[in-house]
Amino acid sequence: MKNILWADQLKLKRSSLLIIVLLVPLLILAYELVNLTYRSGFVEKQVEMFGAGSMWMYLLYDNSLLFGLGFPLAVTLAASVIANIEHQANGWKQTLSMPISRGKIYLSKFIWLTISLFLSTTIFLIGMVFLGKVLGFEGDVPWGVLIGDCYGMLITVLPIMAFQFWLSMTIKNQAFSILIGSVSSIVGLFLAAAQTTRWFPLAYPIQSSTVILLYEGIGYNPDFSAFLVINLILGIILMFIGSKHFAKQNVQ
Amino acid sequence: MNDQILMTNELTKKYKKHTSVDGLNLRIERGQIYGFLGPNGAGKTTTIRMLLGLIKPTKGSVEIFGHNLNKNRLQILQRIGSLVESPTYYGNLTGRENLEAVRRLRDLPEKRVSEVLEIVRLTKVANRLTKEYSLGMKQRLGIAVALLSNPDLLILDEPTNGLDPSGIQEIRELIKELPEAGMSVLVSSHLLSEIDQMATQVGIINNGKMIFQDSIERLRQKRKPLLKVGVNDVMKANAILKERELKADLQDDFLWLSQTDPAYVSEINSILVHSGVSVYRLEEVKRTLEDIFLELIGTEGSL
Repeated sequence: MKNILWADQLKLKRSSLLIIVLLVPLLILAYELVNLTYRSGFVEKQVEMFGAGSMWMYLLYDNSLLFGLGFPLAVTLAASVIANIEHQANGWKQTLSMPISRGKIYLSKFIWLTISLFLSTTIFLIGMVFLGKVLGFEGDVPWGVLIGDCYGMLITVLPIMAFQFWLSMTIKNQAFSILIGSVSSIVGLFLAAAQTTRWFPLAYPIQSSTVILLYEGIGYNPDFSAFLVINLILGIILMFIGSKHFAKQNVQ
Repeated sequence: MNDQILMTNELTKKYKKHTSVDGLNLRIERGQIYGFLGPNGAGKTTTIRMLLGLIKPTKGSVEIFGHNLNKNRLQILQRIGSLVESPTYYGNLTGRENLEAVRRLRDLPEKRVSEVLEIVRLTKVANRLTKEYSLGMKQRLGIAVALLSNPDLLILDEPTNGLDPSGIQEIRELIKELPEAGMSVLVSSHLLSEIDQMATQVGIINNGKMIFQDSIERLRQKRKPLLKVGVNDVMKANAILKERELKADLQDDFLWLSQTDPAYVSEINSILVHSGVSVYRLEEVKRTLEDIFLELIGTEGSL
């Protein structure tokens, strides 16, 4: 397995994967920087209105919507870049005629997708802490909620990751998987708004923040742990089904 | 031990209604260079994909190194190197990195990369991105990948596609040397001249069916010139020759005999003339392998 991972690492060299996984967190951070400086008057009013305990809590609440919308897009694009390396190289027939099980080849690429998205959330985490420090947020850094918010997203997005990855791996035309990924990301936004539909997998990323707006103001998300468990299980199941299907496919 | 290293039993592949490969019985022995010949769309690549387990046959089975491909796919692939159709290349990597990726995947010794680069003469351009490579260079890279694991069986699908004449020559010489190291080679082509110059065994496939499978010598024997005899009464002449146990074929109002040496021709002439048959033509007809190929596959093969 180690060999396969190292081979895939080499194949990703000079690809646009890094740009894509860094783009989403950096764009959101740039937006927050502008929001917290040029619109500071408005932000202060909002903090008071929502009863946010600290600026940290406000920051987490404020970016949860953008992150929930943007991160699935990063997932879609990253999955597409990783799969497209083989499609573009005409590489499936070569890679799959190696004496290596197809399941492992699928898994290896999925691991690289996870690693690249892990990098993305880590950059987001560091960026948020950096932003808070630079803008002089009061109080200690709430590491628990910050880390939970970033890496929790990674787990919440697992079902979407497994699905988008499978789409990109099995369908050569990447326009198709990117379209599906973008549309479902937006659909998730609407699904999350209604009480009944908010338990659809597509709606999870939007709601997976550790901090949400409750009746009494900004507070901890009571459903967060449920989201983690559901998505972890669902993600693993989807990943397994995808890999089984991939292993049985005919290679043209 | 049986020296047969590859054999297929009634291998068939159907795509909906269209039968792409139809009951193929391929036989390759150790140390052979098996030329797999057929016009475009005859089912060569489909067959090769089935041999590598890339697609599942509709019917029939593949046995390589004495094992069933379906059950022991990974062990079998361990000993195979392959190049299928248009070459695979990761454009964002250099030639050397392309080989390195495969080397890591198969866990082979590091020095093999430089060795195969040398073999296919890509050392000079090894550090250039492969998206800048010419088609011929990409093709060589594909061959290098196939050779990387030092396989027992090498499967090359149209390896000389896109190469210039000197490149074709080089690859041909390279392939011819391989059996010395104990390698067996399956090489497909739609050009008979190509196969003629390197293969020891030939399989000709047309419309998914195997129409000829034997040694290249057998195919060449078919090329021996024939004697075309024109007479006024073909039936009578044929009967006369039959009496003397001389085998002649009747076709297009001419008699065809398989020998053309002068003494034989004179004798035939003398026999016929003395029997009262008027002979107006004695002609030696040379046939090229192309003629035989076209004769075997029929006219639709030129598509």
